[in-house]
Amino acid sequence: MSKRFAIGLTALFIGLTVIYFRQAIFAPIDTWMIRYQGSDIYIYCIGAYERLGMLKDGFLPLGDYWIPRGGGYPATLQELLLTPAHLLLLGTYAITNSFTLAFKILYPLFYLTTLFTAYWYGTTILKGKTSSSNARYGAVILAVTYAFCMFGVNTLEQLVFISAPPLILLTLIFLEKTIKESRPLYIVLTSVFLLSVYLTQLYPAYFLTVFIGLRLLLTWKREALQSALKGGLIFLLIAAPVFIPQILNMPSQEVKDVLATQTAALALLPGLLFYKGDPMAFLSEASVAYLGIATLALALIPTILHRKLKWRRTYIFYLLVALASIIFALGQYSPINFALLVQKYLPLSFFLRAPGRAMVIGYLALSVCAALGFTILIDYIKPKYRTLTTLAIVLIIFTDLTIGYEPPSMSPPLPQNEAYEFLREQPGDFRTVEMPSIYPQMAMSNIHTNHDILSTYSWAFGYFDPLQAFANQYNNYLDLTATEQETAFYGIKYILVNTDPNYYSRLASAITYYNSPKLEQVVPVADYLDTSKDYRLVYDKGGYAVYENLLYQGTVFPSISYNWTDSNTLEIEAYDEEPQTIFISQSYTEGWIAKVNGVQTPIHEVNFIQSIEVPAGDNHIVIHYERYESSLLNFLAFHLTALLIILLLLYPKWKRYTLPILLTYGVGLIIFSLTVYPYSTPLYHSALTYLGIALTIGALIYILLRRRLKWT
Amino acid sequence: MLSRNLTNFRRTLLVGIVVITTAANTSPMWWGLALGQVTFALLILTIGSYLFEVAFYSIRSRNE
Repeated sequence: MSKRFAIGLTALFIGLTVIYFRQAIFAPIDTWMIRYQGSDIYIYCIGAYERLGMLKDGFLPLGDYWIPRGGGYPATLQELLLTPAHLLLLGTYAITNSFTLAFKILYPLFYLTTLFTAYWYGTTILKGKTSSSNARYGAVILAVTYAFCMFGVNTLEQLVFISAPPLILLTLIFLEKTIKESRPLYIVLTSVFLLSVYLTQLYPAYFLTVFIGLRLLLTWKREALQSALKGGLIFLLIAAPVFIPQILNMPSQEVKDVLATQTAALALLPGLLFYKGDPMAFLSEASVAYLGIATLALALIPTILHRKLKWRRTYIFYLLVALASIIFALGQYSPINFALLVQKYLPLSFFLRAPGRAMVIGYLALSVCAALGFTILIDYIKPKYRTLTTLAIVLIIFTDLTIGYEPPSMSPPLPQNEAYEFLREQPGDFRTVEMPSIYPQMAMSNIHTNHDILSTYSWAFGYFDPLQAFANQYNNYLDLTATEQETAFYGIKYILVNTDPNYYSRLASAITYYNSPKLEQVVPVADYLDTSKDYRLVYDKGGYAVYENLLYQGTVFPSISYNWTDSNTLEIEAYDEEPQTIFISQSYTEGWIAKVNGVQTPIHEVNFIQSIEVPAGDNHIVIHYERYESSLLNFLAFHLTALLIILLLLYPKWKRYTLPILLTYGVGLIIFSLTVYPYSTPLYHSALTYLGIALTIGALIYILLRRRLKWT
Repeated sequence: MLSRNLTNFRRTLLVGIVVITTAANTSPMWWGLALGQVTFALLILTIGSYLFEVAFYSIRSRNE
């Protein structure tokens, strides 16, 4: 590639990214890059915020966001620091100290990376299929078509999705390289990037795995299949500690049913593939899948000018992948409900509740078709006009795809408000009920007040049964009559009631969309709290009122002194002449371990919260979230194993020591996890044990097979 | 002969797709969606006829 071309390409890509993000970049810093007020983006923020807080306390932030405040949320390793996008958000937030700014830096960066990696992928595929200069033009078309497709704008609120395309492309680039030439480096890089996609999000990982399978079937080269098998084994071995606990901790049937019924809402209407309307008018989730007139025309050109084509097989493959992705994405609106079939019969696919997201591969395949089509067209142009033509087509594609759908900027759901400042200043640990609270608002109020905020929007509890039941029990917190005792039981000290009419008019559409209480529903609650003897008005200004629950005694009751040693450990001092029951108002969940005077004691569940029986006399009780340590060890073991396997593969001299090293390491891990392990974890929570078992069995099978092969 | 006919057919369909998609995006909401649905049918026809042709000729050349 000439220097001039490289500079021109970089300028083009940066220019297009800046034009695309113009609304967001040139808006005030504290505006969000979202289309609708209810957005998952805030949930990523609270995750990063909690982790950063824990880092400042000197802890590795391995817990999920409900753990530190005693919420108890079943953390999966995927939610932890292993996720590349989460790690980037955390880092950017730590430097900028502003979430809005962090997103304004990260998103354009992801787009730029997608543009460059897509260009690289394009040149990899088109190599040998056309002249090298035409391949470069085709790659530019692929990059622009894929980077600015509707997938990004549909998943604007999903940090992990936006970060997935570059990783998908890198996996595919090294897969192509492996197919051409099976060098260990390429095999390792393919599996490492596949792993990074898997850690990023399950949707892209699932679709990408299927795509890779099909791609290998198309090739049907012995060496390629062998090296893919090797890469797959490396991937499985490294991913085992993440993967196995995840399968074993799969959600209950009830949750699966919820996921299955939600499919109905999240498929695409076929018409929206060709029409850039307002998706909110048709469906509940934002999902325009506009393919683009220019893209479609280019992608279909080879069907007309197809004779004497050398690469017809490649074209048909990508066309079929695009078609299959589209059919899958249409879900129940398609002539064949392919998504339902997959969900029903393919293992581990029940979580695919939004078939529309299959378009992450669909757009890529269509972009490749468009690039192939463009390489035919460009042959008709005189060489000296080719750059100019490509530029013109790029601009047409870009305008066609993005106009009216650029990432917008929006002010946050809640302005800086003194009522929240008031809550922030209150000492002790407590929860607050916020009323009303549209879905994302709760996350931001949590960050702002530095205390647990319970929302009317129970979906935000992430299908975690106790908290969801808790929200339902209160009839979305609107029915507060005769529940002061229970409110205190669940750790609620304050109720914030917002009757500011401006709020309701500004967020009217979000309130309707999330079925949040309306002003006329909230006013009676305030009236009731005014007359109740058990509530005291402690703050009242500008329509925002805060009531204190006088029956609240603390997280641990009946009245006992307690202290949070750190986010995961609670110490309690209790004295009574008779044995008694202590209640701790945090959700009952596995992973918490109680020790009374050093002796492990079972934790019971009472109406979704925890309780412990303590004997008479002086008692020192420690309650600890032990998955903290297990996740820390798993994290380290995971990275050590990955490093070990990669090093063994890359240095052929070490090859003969590979099996003894893996065997020793595996056995060592098993012994360590069974003896030195600090708490008695259920086996299936310890990824470490699984890693040890996987490595040991893998090495043993290999040795046995090799011997047997020698005998015969 | 079949190939030429099918190619002409697809050329017409492709023009149809471009025209109708443009029309859809300049129409009011429900019209846009309805025209989009029509384009979807045209797209399926285009790809279907192409795949049919490829399959037909590859089988014929194998038999010969």
